[in-house]
Amino acid sequence: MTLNRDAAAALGFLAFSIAYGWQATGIDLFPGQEYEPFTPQTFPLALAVVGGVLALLQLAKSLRAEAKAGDTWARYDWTRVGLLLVVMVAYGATFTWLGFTLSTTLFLVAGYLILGERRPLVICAASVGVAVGFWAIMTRLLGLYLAPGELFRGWLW
Amino acid sequence: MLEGILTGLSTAFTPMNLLMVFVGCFAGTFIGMLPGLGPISAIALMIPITYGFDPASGMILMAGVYYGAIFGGSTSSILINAPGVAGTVATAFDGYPMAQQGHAGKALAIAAVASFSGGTIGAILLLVAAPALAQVALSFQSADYLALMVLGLTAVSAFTAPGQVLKALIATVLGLMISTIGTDPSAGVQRFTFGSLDLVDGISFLLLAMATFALSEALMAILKRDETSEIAQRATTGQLGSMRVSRAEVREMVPVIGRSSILGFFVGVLPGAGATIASFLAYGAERTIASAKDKLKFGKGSIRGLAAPETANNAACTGSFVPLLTLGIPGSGTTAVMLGALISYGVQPGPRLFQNNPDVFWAVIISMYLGNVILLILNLPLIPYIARLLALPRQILVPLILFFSLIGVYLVSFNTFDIHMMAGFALAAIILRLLDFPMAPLILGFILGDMIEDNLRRALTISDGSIAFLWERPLTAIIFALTILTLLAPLVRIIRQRRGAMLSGEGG
Repeated sequence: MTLNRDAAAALGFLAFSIAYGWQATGIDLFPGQEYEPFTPQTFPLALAVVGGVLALLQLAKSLRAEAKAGDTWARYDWTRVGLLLVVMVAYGATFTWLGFTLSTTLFLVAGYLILGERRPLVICAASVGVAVGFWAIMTRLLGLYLAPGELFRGWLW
Repeated sequence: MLEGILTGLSTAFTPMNLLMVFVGCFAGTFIGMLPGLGPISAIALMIPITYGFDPASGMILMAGVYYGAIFGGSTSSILINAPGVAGTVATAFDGYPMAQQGHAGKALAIAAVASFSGGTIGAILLLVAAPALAQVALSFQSADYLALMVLGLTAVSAFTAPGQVLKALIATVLGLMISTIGTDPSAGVQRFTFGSLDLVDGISFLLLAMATFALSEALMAILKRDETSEIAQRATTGQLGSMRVSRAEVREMVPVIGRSSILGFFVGVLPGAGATIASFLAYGAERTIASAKDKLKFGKGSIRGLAAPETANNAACTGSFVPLLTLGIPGSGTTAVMLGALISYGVQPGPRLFQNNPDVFWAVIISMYLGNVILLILNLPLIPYIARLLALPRQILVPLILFFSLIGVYLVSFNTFDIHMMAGFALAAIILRLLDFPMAPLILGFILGDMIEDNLRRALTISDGSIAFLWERPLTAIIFALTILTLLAPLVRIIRQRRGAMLSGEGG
């Protein structure tokens, strides 16, 4: 029997609830706190039980339902979304290092390219313009600090 | 009360706050128009901007954004049949056919007038209902609050996703689980941080809201190869037609507006129901009471069919502020985001808000009215121009939305770990959305998590560990009974459907 997607999701959540509950039993308590009616473990443990019960109900429900045909995840544009997520992670990783303006420009350029924009002028204007404009508003107008870039420390200032 | 209204008026009518309403309505209209981005994303995008504001100005801006987003959603429903917001799906039923007949301008004008009237009548009802409920709420105890919050969570789960109640409940529990990450508020011990310093403060509400709404909605549009911006380009470069509404049409609208605004307001007050259900109910109600001749017009550009959902969704938006302002319990995903914003300003909504921060309480109510006026007189003429922005190509728009969402969260914490976490949560949200798990209950569970735990702790400590507090006070017992009824309602429907199917099967 092939497992339908809902049943797999229910199983996933069941596993998550069990792991969560197991982690909850490891939450530190102060000496003597275990005799109190409410400890830092109480709420998470209750949630784990509720979550587990709901997951089992959902599992039972989805096993009885017939699998939906024709709904395949393969037709979605996973490549672009995956690339965008990678670029987001890279943005976070390079932010302090390259500084706000440069990393933002690169992030936006990558985003436009991934989504199929090819006009160089549009890409330049919509990335450098936004990054520099945002930087100017934040640092000059609102007086906020934005990472200038560790890479250029001692070189530019 | 008069004193309060005057306080509200004096707060709302400062030049700065008037500007806030205007900017809020404008920004909200624009964001709401973009297919896929709803009021939750619009408000979430505003939070980082308003961090430095005083609470009244911040809330005024957000109320404006909320109204603007709903109105913007109507615009895209009417012009391109792509509702930006679930609450305006019913608007497209008659609004889009009207636009196709060449009366887009008139449809927009009717929508604006209906929204204005619904919002205004809603604001007046709020003016009366909120202080009265706040008085009653002062006598509530921890157990009652706990019961109310549980009712709110189950109601949101039961109503947001008909047929998917279990999934909605799972999403709620997941939200509650995420809320327990970080330092435990009562004992100060760390929970689920895995020794990471970045998690000691817990996950910020803004991060979760942005990742599960703004980011995942923008990415979902890419994932599903949504081509609405191309349609928009064609629709918005065409002519909108005259915006004039004839006297006979106004006469046709007035009774519809009266009925739908009252219906919408009360549906909005109910926890979990909100604008979407209100607009469908109002549309259904109008069609039921229409004469046989009028009934035929529904779905083909009926004025009543357009005015009813538009009035009701705005009245419901206003109504949903009643539980937020008086009990501190958000009744919908949008008000949940607002609750998070209020808490981040250091304002605790609830019955005491009315006494401790009368300026915030009244200024929000007054600014709702102002927001409606501004939407009508300033936004309506601007619609043809704002609609042009809809034609902004998606390959430019999406990276910008991603950038503003990421930087918005970063600017609050100044921690790049948050950007990584957002990417992770966005991916999780996309998968959950594809599996039909609704996101609004998740965010509501996350926001209410701390409060539920706090009230549960108090109730359990007071009753010395016994769960008798669940039924000791009649009020608590009634609310819990309602919760159980809410949960059983979908079950009863399923059983009835099965029995109906079985009977018809036997008959045939």
